[in-house]
Amino acid sequence: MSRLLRVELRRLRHRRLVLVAHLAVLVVAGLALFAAWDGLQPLSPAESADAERFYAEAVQEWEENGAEQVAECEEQEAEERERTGDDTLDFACEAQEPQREWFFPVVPPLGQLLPELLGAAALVLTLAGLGIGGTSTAAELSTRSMSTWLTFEPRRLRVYASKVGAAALGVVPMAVVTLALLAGGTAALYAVEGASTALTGPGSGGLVLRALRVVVLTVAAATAGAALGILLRHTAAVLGAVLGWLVVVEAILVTQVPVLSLVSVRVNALGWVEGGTSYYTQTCSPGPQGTVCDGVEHVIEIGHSAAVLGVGLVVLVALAAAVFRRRDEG
Amino acid sequence: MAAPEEFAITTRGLRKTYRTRRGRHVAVDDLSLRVPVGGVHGFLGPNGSGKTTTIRMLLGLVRADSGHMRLFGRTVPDALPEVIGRVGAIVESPTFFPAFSGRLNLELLAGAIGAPRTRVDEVLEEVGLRERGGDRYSGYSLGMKQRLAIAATLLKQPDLLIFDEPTNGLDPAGIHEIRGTMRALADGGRTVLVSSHILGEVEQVADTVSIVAHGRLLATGTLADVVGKRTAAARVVVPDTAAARAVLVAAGMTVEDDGDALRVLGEADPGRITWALAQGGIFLRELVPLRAGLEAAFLELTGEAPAPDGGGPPAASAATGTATATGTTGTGTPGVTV
Ligand SMILES: Nc1ncnc2c1ncn2[C@@H]1O[C@H](COP(=O)(O)OP(=O)(O)OP(=O)(O)O)[C@@H](O)[C@H]1O
Ligand SMILES: [Mg+2]
Repeated sequence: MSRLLRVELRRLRHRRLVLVAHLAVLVVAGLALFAAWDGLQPLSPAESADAERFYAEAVQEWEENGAEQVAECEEQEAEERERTGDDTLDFACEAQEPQREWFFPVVPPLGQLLPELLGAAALVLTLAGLGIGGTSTAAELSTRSMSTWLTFEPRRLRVYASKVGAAALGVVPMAVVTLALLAGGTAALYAVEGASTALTGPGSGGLVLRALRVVVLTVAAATAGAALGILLRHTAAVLGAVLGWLVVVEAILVTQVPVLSLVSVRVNALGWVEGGTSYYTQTCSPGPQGTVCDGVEHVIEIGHSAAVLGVGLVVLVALAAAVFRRRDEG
Repeated sequence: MAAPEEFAITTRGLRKTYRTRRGRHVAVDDLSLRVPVGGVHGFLGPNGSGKTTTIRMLLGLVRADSGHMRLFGRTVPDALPEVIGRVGAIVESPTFFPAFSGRLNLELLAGAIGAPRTRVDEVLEEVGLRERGGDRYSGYSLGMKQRLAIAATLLKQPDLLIFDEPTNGLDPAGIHEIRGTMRALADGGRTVLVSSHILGEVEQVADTVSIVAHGRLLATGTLADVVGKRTAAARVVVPDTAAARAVLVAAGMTVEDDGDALRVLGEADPGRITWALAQGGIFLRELVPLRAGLEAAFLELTGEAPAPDGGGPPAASAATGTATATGTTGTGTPGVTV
């Protein structure tokens, strides 16, 4: 078995599409680093002058119409207090006065930027994992080189396990290197540019855990991709299925029926990476001034997300194994 | 070692149906094959007669609906993991990963069975692909692909080689080369099963044959047993036709006039004709085996050609096949098709 796994890893390393996926991920990581570096640069004199001008214009506007805006705001605040019977409601009407720092970009603290970068990396790595896993198995079926392979190793489940296993293991270096590059790169940029590298927010321990969860997600994506490749037999079919799922299920169905967020792959993947997430439903009731809607937040715990994704993956992998074990391979 | 194996392949009551849009299609129907150990065995049948399907079932690539199969006495597909190392096979056209080099394809296969990488160089050398081993497989010519596939089967050092229509698309030189390879493998003590839809392609190299049509076995045995006896004919030119006729008839042969010469029907072995004439003190000027009759008989046997008298089922009409020997004459034109 380990012999087969080694061979499959070697095969994966020689696949051009796998190389292309790695390069694409690296390019995206490079762009993210560039954006972080760009955010650290001081404003050019022209940009500063623009910012000053926008600030001055806003102040002038406030001086002319500010009082009116505050009055309008307070009126709405009073109405809402009356409707809900909640006297503590605060619309912060005075806070509308323009402040100078609003017009000058602030460098986001590293502790805030890094989790954002990890989230973006998770999306890119998941898609790359799906693609690499998908092509690792589908290309063998579409070129029919699988049938030659099976005349050398007829034990289908071993063949299946080695191929899916190789896809899962094969993406680990990509995920680890990408995340290390992003985290190390931004930290280095902050240090070089003299910005604070203090980690507020989740802290370094939390960040490492989060990065590990992204690696696990990438591995799961590659595993799912490999199983899909076995089922669908063509790389293009795998990518099409993923795209179709994203549009039909995630973008349309889950948006229309928010409670489906509980089983949505996208929402639960997000919850897994972020350590929990939430979705919103609206309850609308007729009020004196027409229908009034209230958004209600529903928390999705990370354990729930892990369970949904895990069960889904196991079902998919088992289904593909059962199909591949019995299927006629020409 | 237990008792020496008698058969490399046996099947009994093998059946396979495919589900198609137009319902179930029977590809192999109650097929019982016996391929003896050693020598070249031709597996003959027209297009769509179930040859490839049978080979796929033997290799565990497709599942049989029912029936039994054995390779070297071991029941397959259950015992396939144990016997697959003794079986090298090329099913239909060679299938390798097109974007990889021939060498990488072989190295991966060698890795799967734990063969050393030096073995890859050896087999590439053996098939004459050493120089081109590093080229992408997709850039190979058909003949090179075929040779790479043979190299792959040799990685295992198999006792049984299965070639499914190995000469498909090859030029005469390529066909000749493949025949030589099969002969050499058989002479080296291996068993070769070669499928073809053209009798002429394997008749020169096959020791025994099985003939199938519509998924059923029609005949099996030596080539002479199967089709030769019925239709073999030879043109005999001698100084004294009348005397020769008397000698040959006395030796139990069927003789017809053929212009200035004689035509001997139903005798597959030219040696017997020569011997009979020599015994009668008659010198032979010319002896030409008429092979086109063989091909016609094969086509008729498999139901691909209508019987000349136009009646009866194909297998039955083959029994009256001597009539076909009077058709086109000529020596061994392989690949006569209808
Ligand atoms: N995957 C499949 N699905 C449906 N029908 C199939 C499939 N494979 C083969 N068949 C059918 O089974 C029958 C036997 O096919 P097979 O390929 O075994 O014939 P063959 O003897 O190898 O023919 P050829 O000489 O053309 O290679 C044919 O009628 C074919 O159409
Ligand atoms: Mg065939």
